[in-house]
Amino acid sequence: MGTIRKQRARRGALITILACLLLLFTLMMVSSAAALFQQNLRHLDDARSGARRLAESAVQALIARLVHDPGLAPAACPVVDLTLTSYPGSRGLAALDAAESSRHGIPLSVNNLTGSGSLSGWGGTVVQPETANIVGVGRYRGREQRVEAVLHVPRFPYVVSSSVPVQADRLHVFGVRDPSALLGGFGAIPPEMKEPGHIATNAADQSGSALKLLSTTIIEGDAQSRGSVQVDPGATVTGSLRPQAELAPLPRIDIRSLDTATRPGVSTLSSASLGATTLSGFNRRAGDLAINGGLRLDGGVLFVEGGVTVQGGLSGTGALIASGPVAIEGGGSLSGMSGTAVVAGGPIRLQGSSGQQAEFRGLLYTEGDLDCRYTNVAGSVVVNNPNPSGVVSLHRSTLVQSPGLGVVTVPVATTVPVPAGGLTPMPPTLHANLTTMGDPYGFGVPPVNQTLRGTTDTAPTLFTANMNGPREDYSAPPPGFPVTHPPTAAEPWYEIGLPNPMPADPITLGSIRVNNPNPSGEIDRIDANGVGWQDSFVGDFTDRASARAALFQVAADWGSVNAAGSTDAFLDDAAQYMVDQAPEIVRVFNANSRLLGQASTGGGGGGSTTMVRTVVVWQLDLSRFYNLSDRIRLRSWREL
Amino acid sequence: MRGAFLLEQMVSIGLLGVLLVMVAAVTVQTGRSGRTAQRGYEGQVVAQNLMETHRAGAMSLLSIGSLAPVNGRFTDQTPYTATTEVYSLGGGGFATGLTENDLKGLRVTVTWRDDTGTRQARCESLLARLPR
Repeated sequence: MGTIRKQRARRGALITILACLLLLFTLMMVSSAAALFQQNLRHLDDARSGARRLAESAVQALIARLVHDPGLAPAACPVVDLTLTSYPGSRGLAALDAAESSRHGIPLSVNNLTGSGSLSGWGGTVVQPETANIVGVGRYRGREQRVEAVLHVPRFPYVVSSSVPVQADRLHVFGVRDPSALLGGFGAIPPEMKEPGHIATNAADQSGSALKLLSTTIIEGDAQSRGSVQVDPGATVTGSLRPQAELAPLPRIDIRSLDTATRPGVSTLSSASLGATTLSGFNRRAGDLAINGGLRLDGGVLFVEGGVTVQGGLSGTGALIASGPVAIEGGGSLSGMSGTAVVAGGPIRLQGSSGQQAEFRGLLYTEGDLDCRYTNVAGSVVVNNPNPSGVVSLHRSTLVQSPGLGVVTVPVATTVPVPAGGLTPMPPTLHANLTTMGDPYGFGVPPVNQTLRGTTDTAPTLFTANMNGPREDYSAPPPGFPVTHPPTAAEPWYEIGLPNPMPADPITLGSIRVNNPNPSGEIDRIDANGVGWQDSFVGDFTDRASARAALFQVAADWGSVNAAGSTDAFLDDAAQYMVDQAPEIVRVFNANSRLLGQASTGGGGGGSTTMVRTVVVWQLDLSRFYNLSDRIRLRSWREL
Repeated sequence: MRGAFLLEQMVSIGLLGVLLVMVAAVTVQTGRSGRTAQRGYEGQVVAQNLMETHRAGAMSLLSIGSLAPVNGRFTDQTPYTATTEVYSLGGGGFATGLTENDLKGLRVTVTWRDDTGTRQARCESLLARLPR
């Protein structure tokens, strides 16, 4: 009995030991498996993170190429193929060329930054004109990650851009695609019509943040500052907060160059104080000016050598330019689609009241401070104050920007007497191709019949490009031509000479416009030869690279199989045309400029005269202070 | 019979002892691996965060060369040093025609020491002058 008990006890001990062994073995296995699993996860995470960095880098590299050359064609950069040393054996890819995209098995990136029509992108996406769709693919340790970025080219990128600190108190900033959305009032804009509106300052922090968004300020876009951004608890920024950001490019307007003194038919305001006033044509006041009762500009441009105070608001279409400060109190209206440009060498003060917001449509440019209170502004605001201690104060105001509000165009009608015979015409322009002239540069595209808008009439229509001389504006010397005779009191006109040496890119002496850019659009008129024309155009380009990108794209849109070669051949001839025609352009400019200048002073040598009604297009377009690269912005960035 | 039983007990206890030592070794090793993995993960997070911080600012403010190192500690108090190297792409290959004003490379390396020696976590990306 005792022996059996002992044998059972021994068996029990053995079973216990074996059970312990099994338990320990299991524990060891679980522990090792957990360690291996953890390590595997780390590897996967590293691979995913590395692949994402590679994809981002490919996108960044292609963005850099596009910002450097917005017209970048697939032939010039078929594919970006890179690796990073931190990720051995990795690859980052982005392809502009369809063959490369298919060879590498990656989505196609599409550059349509200089295009005028939509293009097809990867996966059925539509790449709108003036945008680029970039897809980068990263591959690392068997993982693949994709990143997509969309670039676009706003006409003017900011609602408010300033060189000095900005303080906003109960400010509301946003954008609208269509300015007509504002006709019902600033508070009645449906959300679907809104777009981002951005505010930017290039000022560094001084006493506090360079950009202060106080109280219940709402920025429906980005808040960008070279220094820091202060956002009060009640304030909202729906876009990105961008402290320590890149400097925003600021337009610099030469205010003196806008002086109307040399404009034909300029009227001089002799009184320093006026009641309610409506102005048309070119006007000038030497000395300060005070207007009580409101100023309406009806196609009028007023230059004041001094400061301006307007009680009762500013309205209409025109421009108010002052070498000193400008103060506008009350009133104003947003009727009509065109706006008013206010350009001041001194500070600008816009003042409404808590009971009635003042309203202003157009562009504000100041080289002093800006103080905006109880005011609704539809347009863009630029503060280019060289004094770093300056300030922009925006209080209980609403600022709205739209692509169509980045430019103020004022057709100014003036009538001037000139000797019989009138003005001498400039040399004819050089055309790339014409329905009535043939196809000398071999674009190989026949005209297509397009329908006259609102009718059933059709006419043969074909894209073309024109090499034009400088704009016929005799109040300012054309760019690139040296001034040989500046305006004086006795002889208020410019004369110019031949550039010596000629510029490396002679196209800069004139401009190239690409007409009829839409191959499947409607036409707006039919000329005497029965040829159709669209009102929309692409341009005017004042350098070869920009003109090349635009003409190439339009020719490709129209189906030209030789777009690149034909475009280059035309541009070669266009450059030679400017060299050949420069002496004639100088002769005609000087003759007409002298004629108009003498007419404005009552001179001209007597004899019979004829009254010439000229319409001078006065234009302030903020986008012309930027090259295309400066205007390119990131619209979206996402991982696919 | 008694002697044999005692011997069996002693062998069993010895075997258990060896197994316990093995378990202890595995536990220590697992713990060490876990801590290493944790530091590796945290190192990667530090590198990624630093990269995103640089990317959020202006590219033009990043000059070519090494930026001032950043020192810190992981959650287990292991000290680390994060260095950022900004490099030029040279203007060739995919960066043809570009200068360092257009495109820069950014490499963040986080370095720390543990029982096995010096360890690193890296993060690298290119950065274009990308207006928003």
